[in-house]
Order: sequence, then C-alpha cells, then structure tokens
Amino acid sequence: MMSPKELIEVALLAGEIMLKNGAETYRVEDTMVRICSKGNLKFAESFVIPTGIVATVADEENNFLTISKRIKNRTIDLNKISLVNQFSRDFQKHEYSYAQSIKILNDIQNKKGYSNTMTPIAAALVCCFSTILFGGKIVDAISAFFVGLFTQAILNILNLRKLSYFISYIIGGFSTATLALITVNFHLGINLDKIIIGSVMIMTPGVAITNAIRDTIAGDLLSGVARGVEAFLIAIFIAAGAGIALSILK
Amino acid sequence: MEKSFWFQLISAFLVSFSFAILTNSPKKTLIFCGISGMIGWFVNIIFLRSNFSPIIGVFFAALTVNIFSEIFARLLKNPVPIFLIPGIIPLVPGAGMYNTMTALIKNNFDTAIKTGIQTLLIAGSIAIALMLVTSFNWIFKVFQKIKFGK
Repeated sequence: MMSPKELIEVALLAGEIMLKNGAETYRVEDTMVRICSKGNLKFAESFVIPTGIVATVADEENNFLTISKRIKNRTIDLNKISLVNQFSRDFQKHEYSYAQSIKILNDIQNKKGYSNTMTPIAAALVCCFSTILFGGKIVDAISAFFVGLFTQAILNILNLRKLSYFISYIIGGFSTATLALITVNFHLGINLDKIIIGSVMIMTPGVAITNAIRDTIAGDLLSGVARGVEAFLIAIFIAAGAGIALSILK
Repeated sequence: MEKSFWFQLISAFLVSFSFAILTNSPKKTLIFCGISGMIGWFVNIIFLRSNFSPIIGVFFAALTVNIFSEIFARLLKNPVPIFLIPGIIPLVPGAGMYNTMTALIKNNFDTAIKTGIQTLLIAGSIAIALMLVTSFNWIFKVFQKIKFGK
C-alpha cells in the first residue's frame, strides 16, 4: 500500500502526461481521483484547467496534502492518453509499488510518436485528399500534396524551437498560401483556392474543438470556454497568415 | 457520378487515417479512425445530394461520427476523442473560412458577413451534434450505474 504522498505523486504524474498531450480536463480529473481511490484516503479531489493541475488528498488523521502543477507547453499525442488511461485501469486491479508505477509512467512519457519523416507524409496525404473532398481536380491534389509536405516540415521545425503557438500558426498559414501560389504560377495546379483550402486542413484545431465541447458538457465551463477560444483563435491565425500572403504576393 | 462517389469515400477515409497519424493515435486504431471519417462523409454526401442545406448535412454527419466513435471506443477500449477528432476533420468548414478571409481581403464586407455566418453555423451544428450524443451517452451511463451499482 502506498502512502498518501506517493499516491498523489503518481496521480500528478499521470495527470500531467494526459493534460500535456491533449486530454479533456474531466478525463484528467477522473483519472487522478481513480488512482487516489486505491489508497486508504478520507478525501481526494483534483481541480484541472488546461493550464494547470491542483490536487488535494487527506488521510484518516486529517493530514491534508495539496500539490499543484503548472502546464506550460502542450502538444498532441493521443497515444499517450490512451496508455495512461490503460495504466489507471491496471493500477486499480493490480498492486503496483511506487517505483513500479513511476517507471511505467516515465516510460509512457518518453515514448516517441510517429517519426519526423512519417508526419510530413501523413500531412501531405491529408492535404492531397481534402483537396479532392472540397472539389479540386487531380492536378490540384498533387500540388496540395507537395504544399502539405513542406508546410508540415516547416511546422515540425517551428515546434522544435518551442515558439508560441500563434506565431507558428501564422507562419503555417503564410507558407501554405505562398507555396500554393508558387505551384499555381508554375502551372502545377489550377484552382488556387481549392489547394489552399485543402492544405490548411493539417492545422485545423480538431483536438481543441472536440475537447471544448466535451469539457463544456462535463460541466467544466472554464476549460470549455478556454479551449473554445483557443480553437477560434487558431482558425483566425491560420486565416490571417494565409490572408497576409495572398494580399502581399498576389 | 458513381465513380466519383466511391473516390470521395476513399479520400475521406485517407484524410481521417492520415490525420490520426498527425495526432499520434495508437497504431491499431488508425483504420477505425479512417472508417469514422468515411462514414461521416458518406452521410454528408447523402444529405447534400438530397438537396438539404450544408448545415443539416454536417449536423447529421457529425452525429453519426460521434455515435460510431462511441461504439469503436468501447470495442477497442480507447478514449472516444481518438476516433472523434479524425472523424470530424473532413466536416470542418475550411472552405467557408477561406471564402470569408478572401472576401475580407477584397473589402467585400457583405459577402464576408454572409459566408462568415454560414461558416459559424456549420461549426455550431458540429458542436450541437457532438453535445447531443455525448450527453445522451452520459445519461445512459448514469442509469447503468444505478442499475448495476448496488
């Protein structure tokens, strides 16, 4: 049996991994409370917003223990959320020691996603086939393929530099429109608008949109509004980036 | 016509499949992410070809995507958003956003307001569809707990 202090440390690490990689806040809260319910605690509560975690536990003698964690940079890695989810279920069933559970969680945290060569290809496929969905011709789809390949490569480099997210979205929108203009000028594509519409799909804030809705229904109004604003701003930044490129270069 | 129909479905599958790679979904879920995107686009096409407004089409498409995501989530024991996020990507009103932006660049405010509001309504109909399914699902869960809890 773990002490309350060890238990809350495990819960905090699990919650941190989930929140950093794009989980809904209610899911993080549930997971943390579920992990804490394993010990002999009188009270366990966690409060999570997209930028931070606060958790409190109390043992039988009313010794309260509060721990808080600020989340500064966030990425998206749904695989890690799925793994931590699985871990919290296993944690309830089996008797894990403190060292064991910290090791499992650290392994999850250090897990690599799809490789840096794989993501541009996936992005290129998204752009290519969304261009077809929005009514582009085959030639447009082929030029969108290359636009997506280069845009995702640029975004990967920007992510490594840890720039603030709105700058990378503006640059992403800008480079998409610029590359699309180049392909049209070289007569590779025909419909400029279809290529751009298809190519900005890789930057759409899908995670922010779904999390905003699911958080709002769960009653986490604060997180829901925060994520809704995030999604809206990302859309505006992409449009602004593309708009700057179009109005300067056209 | 029929040929392009199948072509569109395959495209929607590949869009969702590749987007799932961008969000680092687990390997064994990728195919199902693609399927959920394909189902959503199928519903959307059916409604558009029956001359419904795009808002209604996207609404029912998002509804279907969410129902299937809940089913896949239970089958594969993974969180619902893993299937939901790639599934709704083809429905996101990218074209509306682009048209609003270009109208603003050309100082064409009437068109900008018209397309802007239509884009917002489509985005809102996705939100309402997801809200409906998710809240029904949670009501169902509460009843299950009462039934099997004690």
